[in-house]
Parts: sequence; structure tokens; C-alpha cells
Amino acid sequence: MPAPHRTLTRRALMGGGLVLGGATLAGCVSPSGSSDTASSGALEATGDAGGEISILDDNTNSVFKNGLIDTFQEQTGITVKNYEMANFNDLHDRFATMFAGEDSSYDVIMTWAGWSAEFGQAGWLQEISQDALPSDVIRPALDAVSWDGKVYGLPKFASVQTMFWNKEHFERAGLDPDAGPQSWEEFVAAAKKLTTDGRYGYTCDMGNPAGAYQNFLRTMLLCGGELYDSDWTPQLDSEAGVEAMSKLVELFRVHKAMDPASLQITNASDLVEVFAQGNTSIVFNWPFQWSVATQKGAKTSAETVGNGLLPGVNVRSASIDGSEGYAISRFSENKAAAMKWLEFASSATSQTEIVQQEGWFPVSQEILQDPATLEALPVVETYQKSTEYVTKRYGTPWSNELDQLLSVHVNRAMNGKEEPQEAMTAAQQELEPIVEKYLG
Amino acid sequence: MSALSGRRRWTVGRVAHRLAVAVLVLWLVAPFAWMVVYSVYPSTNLRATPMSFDPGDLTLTEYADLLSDPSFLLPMRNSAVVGAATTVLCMLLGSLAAYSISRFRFRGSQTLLLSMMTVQAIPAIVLAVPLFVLMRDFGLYDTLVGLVLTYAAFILPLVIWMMVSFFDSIPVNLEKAARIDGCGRLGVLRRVVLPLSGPGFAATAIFAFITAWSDFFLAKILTGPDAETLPVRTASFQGLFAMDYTAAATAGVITALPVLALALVAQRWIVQGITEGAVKG
Repeated sequence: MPAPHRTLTRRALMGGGLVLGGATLAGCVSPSGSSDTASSGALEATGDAGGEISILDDNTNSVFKNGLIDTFQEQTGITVKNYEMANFNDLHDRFATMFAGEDSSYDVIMTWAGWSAEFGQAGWLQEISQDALPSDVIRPALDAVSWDGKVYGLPKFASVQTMFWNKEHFERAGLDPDAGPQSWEEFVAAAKKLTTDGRYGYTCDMGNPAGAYQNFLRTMLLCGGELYDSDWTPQLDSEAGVEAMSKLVELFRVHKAMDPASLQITNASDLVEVFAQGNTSIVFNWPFQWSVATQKGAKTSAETVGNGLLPGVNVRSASIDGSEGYAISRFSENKAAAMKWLEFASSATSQTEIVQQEGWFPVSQEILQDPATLEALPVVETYQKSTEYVTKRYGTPWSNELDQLLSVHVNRAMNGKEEPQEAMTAAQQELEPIVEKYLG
Repeated sequence: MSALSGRRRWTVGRVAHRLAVAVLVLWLVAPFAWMVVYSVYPSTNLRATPMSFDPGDLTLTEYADLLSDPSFLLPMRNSAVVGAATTVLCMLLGSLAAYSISRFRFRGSQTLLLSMMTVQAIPAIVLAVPLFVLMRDFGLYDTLVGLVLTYAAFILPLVIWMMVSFFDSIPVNLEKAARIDGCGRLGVLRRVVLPLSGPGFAATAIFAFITAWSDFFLAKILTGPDAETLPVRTASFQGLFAMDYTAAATAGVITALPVLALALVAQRWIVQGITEGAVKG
């Protein structure tokens, strides 16, 4: 544990308390950003760096503590004084507290699209110059560490949802096991046929606010829609928004091809299990679905799991992004060394381990093109194809508030308590003032 | 006829009352019972359709795993130390302060009592950053001492309030008699007042322990890996993409057991203490 150090001032005490109190009660931090804590300029490319750094990560990746930190220290001569892995759900409040207290204990923190936007806008993350970005990094993966045209970090892995299907179920239902549905119509028809033997053709995870948002957003993108226009005006009640909601409701209530448990499943790992145990035939999920579905103990295997692009409604395909990255705290006292860590995490050395040991998609071009990657993780092929289509997450400073309000209306619509149009109109009306509050 | 009707009414009323109590108990116990079920069955059994409750699948493996895992034992030890130390500190200081407020008339005593409760009305979230900065600058961040001092600051006012009402219910004449027999102020407190307010003292101590033992928010903000407590460790079984239900449920049961045991052992004192404190003597 590094010894935190800053000078205690009455201003820090009072200001910090007010900022965090108000911010956390609102679900996010400083709506309009804070000018006095704004980043003092983008970090340029670093040359030599040394000294020590401390890193606060979530518990998604084990490869760093299991050897990559040693490699980093050997390669750079920089000492990782402290590498702490914490529960993702605890990190937001810890970060907000540390930043509000202008704490320099950690130089590098884990981030994703929502936090990059929230903490970036608040001026608590160090902006990185476009010139400092490694040329090997896959550009779309930068979405997880960017907000409002500024880059606040580097990605550590890419995660894009693709479609997984059970080939055995397909064969038994008289469907071609080697070719997944190519369009939403084909998907619905297949899911209906596969709903048999006390099993549903399709299952998803919309049991909590984040899940409801992700499932809705994915369908909206598959309908060819955009969640915001270029001025950040929400488009929930647009044609695509209403169509997306209607498609989900129809799948559940009209076609009865979606497992009702979908409304209770709260995270991707549960969905992974449902599929791996052969309890559903089609899921749209993150890449680690593959490793779980093909590991020992699963009722599926590499031979029986099919993988392909998500089937579109008005477009061929689209997907949502769940990538993670690292950012540098604005209060870090060794930003040059911190930048070295970011570069290392996105480099071929680290990416090889992340792909082969943990089954996430790489953010390094070199590793993406490497045949060994495809051999270790066959679903990478689908990821490569998916880069031709829209993949978004829309991480914003108001992500938490959007998740909450949208999930209420998505659930009402799914349960028949609101018509899709009514649900989207209500969600739009609730979201507009929230966006206005943040963007002014 | 009317006697029969009265008896029937009485029986119906009694049955309805017992039914209502049964429903209430079921409602209160169900979450804990479900947590126990989740901790002793493999998650695949509970995710199957329909769920499988085959007694042959019952297992205590997760308990054995957690109770032999150093990364779980350290938070357990931390919670026990913090809970016990906070309780001792709060009861020691709280009893003395409450006795002073109850027995001595001094200017501002009631204002002091009220202001202590006002502090309780401030949401912990507002105090999170100042507390973090304080702890950091005094070198107490991620230490058990820092956590004990923080909890004591939050719990002490409530302890004082509760103890004042218990002390108020003890007749002053008993103390006067003890004073005549040669007891000093502290002697009176130790030999007369505290023994007589035993149930209230126990109830308050248990309240202090449970509050410190089960806190999540402040522990999350003020600790790292060294002073991590059991509730924070339990929450860590939920990740961004995954949730280990069996481990979380097992940790939940382990966290709840000491509180449950304390409540059962001290049930009589708690009830007695609460009722004693409710009326002044």
C-alpha cells in the first residue's frame, strides 16, 4: 500500500466533501467539469522514464500480477511499487474520493468508456496527446479511453459482442449448424424453431440497469440507429429507437423465443453459464463466452459452438463495446513512468498474454494479425469482421443515470406495461434534461 | 351462544394473528435462508430448470475454501478487531459522557446532546472525502486504527444517547446511598450504575459492534488491501463481467453468523435494555 501524501487544507476538506457528496448523490461527478482542476495540457510522448508507479486495477485481468509486471520492470527499469486489484463495483467511489482529495497515491487507474467520460470531463484524468499514441494500437479500441474528442488513456483489451450458437441444437432443429442467422428475421425464425424441449432459443441479460441499456443499445445499433445526434441530443424516441424496443418486445411477448429469465439475469457470466450448460441455443455475448463454452465441464465444445456477427435489422451487423483500459491520474507525480505502463499494457507483449490466457480481443494490430492469435482464440475472426460495422458504447458522464432511467422503461415495455413508443418517449423526456445538465 | 361466538372470535383472531406472525417471520428469514441454500449447493443446481435440491449435492466445500483462504481470513480478522475495538472505545467513552450528561447539570448539556444527533443527520457520503483526506494526512488510511476512530466518531453519539436514557432510568437515591457509604463518583458508576444498567449496556454494546462489523461504505472508501473488512471482501465476489454467487453467499453467511449469534445470546438483555431505556424512573 503506498503512503498517500498531500497537504491537508481546509479548502480540500470542504471542497472535496461537497464535490463528492453532491456528485455521488447525483450518480456522477461534476456535470460541467471543474475549471480549477482541468488538465493542464495533453501528455506528450515520453522518452526515458524511471522511478516508481502504483496501479489500481479491477479484477478482470490476472496476467499482470502473474508475470507481466515483472516483465515490465525488467524492460523499463521502472518499479511497480504497488499493484492493487479491486472489485470493479467498488472502484468508482474509491476513484471519486481519491480524485476529490487530489490524491497522488495511484499513478495509473483502470478505466472504461463511462469513467473515461465522467472523470475526464471532471479534469481528473491526464489527457494524452494524439502524437503520443502508439502506432500499433487499434484505433476503435480508443473509444474506451476517450471522451469529447480527447484521449485519456490506452486500452488494455478490446471486447465486442458477437453471436454464439449451439450447433447441436441447430442440427436437431433442422437448421444449418455452420451458418448462423444472417439477419434479424432469420434470427427470430431460428430462435422460434429452437424454442423446444423446455428450452428457449434465445437468452440475454437485461436484469439490471447496465444490462437493460446494453441490450437496448445493441438492438438500436442493429436497427441502424444512433443513440445521440452530433449535438448529443438523445435519439431514444427516434424511429430506430422505437423499432429496437419493438423488436425486443416482439421477441419476448409475441414470438416467445426469449427466455423469461433474461429479465432476471444480471451479468454476462450467468449468461455464459446458461449457454455453456446447453440451456439456451443463441446468445449475444462478450468474447470470454468462447473460453467458458469450450472449457472442461461445459456441455458445449469448440466443435459445437458457432460464432458469427450479430444479425442486423436494417444493417448487416453492429455491436456494442465493452473494452477496458488504463488512464493516468491527473495528480500522479510520475506521469512519464505511468505512460510507460499504458504503452506496455497495449503492447504486443501484454496483448499476447491477454488473448491467449484470458480470451479477450487484442488492441494491438500486430497481435490481431498474428496467426497464433486466431489459433488460440478462433472468435477473433468474427471480431476482425465486426470492425467493418458500427461498434459503440456511448460512454458519457451521465451513463449511470441513463442506465437507471432506461432500464425502468425497457422493463415496463418488456412486461407489457408500456407500449414501445410510449416507453421510448418517456425515456427521451427524462434523458434530455440530464444531458442538458451536463453539457449546459 | 354469545360466549361461543366470543370464543370463536377469539380463536379466529388468534389464528389470524399467528398467521400474520408466521408470514412476517418468513418474510424476514427468507433472504437469509436463501443465502444459506446458495452457499451449500453448487450454483449449477440452482441455475438448472427446474432447480435441483438433491441432498446428495449438498456441500460445504465453499466454506472450507474460504476459511482456509488467507485473502478471506485477513478481512475476517480485521472486521473482528475493528468491531471489538470500536465497541470497547465507544462504550468506555460513551458511558462516561452519558453519565456526566445524565447526572451533572451544566450549561449547554442539552445543546450538546442535540448537536451530537445533528451530526448523525449528515450523510456519510458528504464526509467521505474529508475523512479520506484526514486519514491520509495522519497516516491512518488503510489502517485498522483509522477505521476504529472513524467508526467511533459515528457511533459514539448514538451510544451516548442510548446510555443517557438508561442512566436516567436509575434512581439517583441509590447513588446517594452509595456516596454516603463512601463511594466516589467513579466508584458509584462502576459499582452501582453500570451493574444496574447492564441490559442497556449490553444492548448498546451489541448495537455498536453490529454497526462497525457490518459497515460497507466507509470501509470501502478508507481501506485498501491491508485493512479490508469482511463486507468489502464479500462485495468483491461480484466483478464487472462475473458474479461468484456461491462464494458471495458463503461469505454473506459467515459475515452474518457472529451478529446472529450475538443477537441470540444477548436477546434477553437487548429486549430488556430497550424497554428499560424507553421509560424514565
